Amino acid sequence: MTAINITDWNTWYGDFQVLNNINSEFKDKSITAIVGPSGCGKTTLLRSLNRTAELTDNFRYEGSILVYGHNIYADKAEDARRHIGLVYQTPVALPLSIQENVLFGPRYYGERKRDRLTAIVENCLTQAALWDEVKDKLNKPAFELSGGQKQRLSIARALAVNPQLLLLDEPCSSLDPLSTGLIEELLVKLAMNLPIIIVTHNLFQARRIANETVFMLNGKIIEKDLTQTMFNNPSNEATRSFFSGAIG
Amino acid sequence: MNNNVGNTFFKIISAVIAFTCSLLLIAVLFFMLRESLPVWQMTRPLAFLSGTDWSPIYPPIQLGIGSMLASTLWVAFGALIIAIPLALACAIFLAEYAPQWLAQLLRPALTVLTGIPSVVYGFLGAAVLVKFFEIKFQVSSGESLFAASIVLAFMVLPYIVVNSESAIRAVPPEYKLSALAVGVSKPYVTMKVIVPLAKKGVLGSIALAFGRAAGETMAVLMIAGNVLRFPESWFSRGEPLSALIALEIGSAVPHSLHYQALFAVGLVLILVVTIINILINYLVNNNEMPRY
Repeated sequence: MTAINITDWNTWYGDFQVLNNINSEFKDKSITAIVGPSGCGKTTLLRSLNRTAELTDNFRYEGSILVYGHNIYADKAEDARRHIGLVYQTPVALPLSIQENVLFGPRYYGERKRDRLTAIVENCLTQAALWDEVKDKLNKPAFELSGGQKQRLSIARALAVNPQLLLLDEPCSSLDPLSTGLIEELLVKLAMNLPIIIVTHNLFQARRIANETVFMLNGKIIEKDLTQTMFNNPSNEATRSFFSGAIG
Repeated sequence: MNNNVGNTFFKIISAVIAFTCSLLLIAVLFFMLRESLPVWQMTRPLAFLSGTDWSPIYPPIQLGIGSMLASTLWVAFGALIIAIPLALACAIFLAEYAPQWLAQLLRPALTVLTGIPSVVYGFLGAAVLVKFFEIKFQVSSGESLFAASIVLAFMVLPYIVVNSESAIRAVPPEYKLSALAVGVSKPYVTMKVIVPLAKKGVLGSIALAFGRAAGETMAVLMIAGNVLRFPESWFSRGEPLSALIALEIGSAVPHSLHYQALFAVGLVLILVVTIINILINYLVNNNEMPRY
């Protein structure tokens, strides 16, 4: 089943065109990796998908993005973001306790019942593979956590509002191999229930966890295929150069 | 000149200048203490601070600055109570909501506000605010600590706005982006994430503003009413410490007890501001401040 349909998607920052006629589909319950050299528009595509791209001044777009058949640009931006979680490159702990970091979204959306809130905290932290490490210090400030823990907390925060889709922008680029392994493991588990799109600079990471891989260059999608096929037998010359390390 | 010699020379010059500056502070404190020493030998500090009778020239000599100290505290804290909410709203608006052209217009305007001489503020306060109270509330004199607080609030406002705004803008953008990505509104992110992260800078700006408000002389002298009575409320008239010194130092005979008592008042004023600053610093350092 298709989760996301992107049709004729073009975006600009001022006069500079970042994404050029993107047409693509992303599958439900699977991990798609977006790879490509710096500045190719990976992050802008990701941010287009949860409507945070428009937080930058001078952002313009044309085209449509449907998530489960629904045009996300027809809603209020806040509603679209609520249903589409995005985790950034830098691990961010909000200046709140660990528990309140998870409840940041649910409280805003009016969840007041104590037992519901407790359940959300335990459930999301468990899904983010952080529960065992923090269950005894839920009221401690979240900034005391390590980088890897903060990144898992960011994932838990995104999960707490029940997203239909999870986006991650190089979530492991500042983490050690151990934390990276934990996060990859949890993404594979989460992908059993929802589609995940991950931008990564680490081709090995794409290979380890992604069902499909998208290769982008200069604002365009050059090739998109099953990860195995992309790595072993790319059809495009530019893809071949990138995967062999000739460009990057 | 040999480069090495030049370096050494530069180092020595910088060290001497730095040392002189700190020496100046110590010298001021020492001078105030020395000049006021007879007062401290005559009265206990607590009696000096809490006494409400001030009669430094004619016997029976009474040296109690409680009324003036209370006036100073009313005026300064009152100014902060009025200024802080306004200034924070203004800083948040400038940092988060104002379109660029408007922010670029408002920021220099705030800087100009800090440059207006306090006598002008005092004059405006006396001519407009005091008159307004007199007409509106049918009182014989519109002067009050409250009126002085209002004028002072506008005098310290730019300091809080400018420094708080820099603190808010210094919060790394990742925090805002990550918080907004959950689908919450911008005001929610501002109040729950951005402002708490900027707390340190905001408290610092409040400490600075308190120092300004407690030490300000000319404007309060023109508006507060200048009566040596204990101010029962914010709306009483009173004479803050700074006004007391300014009004009486001209007529005090050098090295008389009156003169020495005024130095003691100055010392108290320095200490009050210092203590408040230390308290705010303590608050800053003992709060669980997020690192970013």
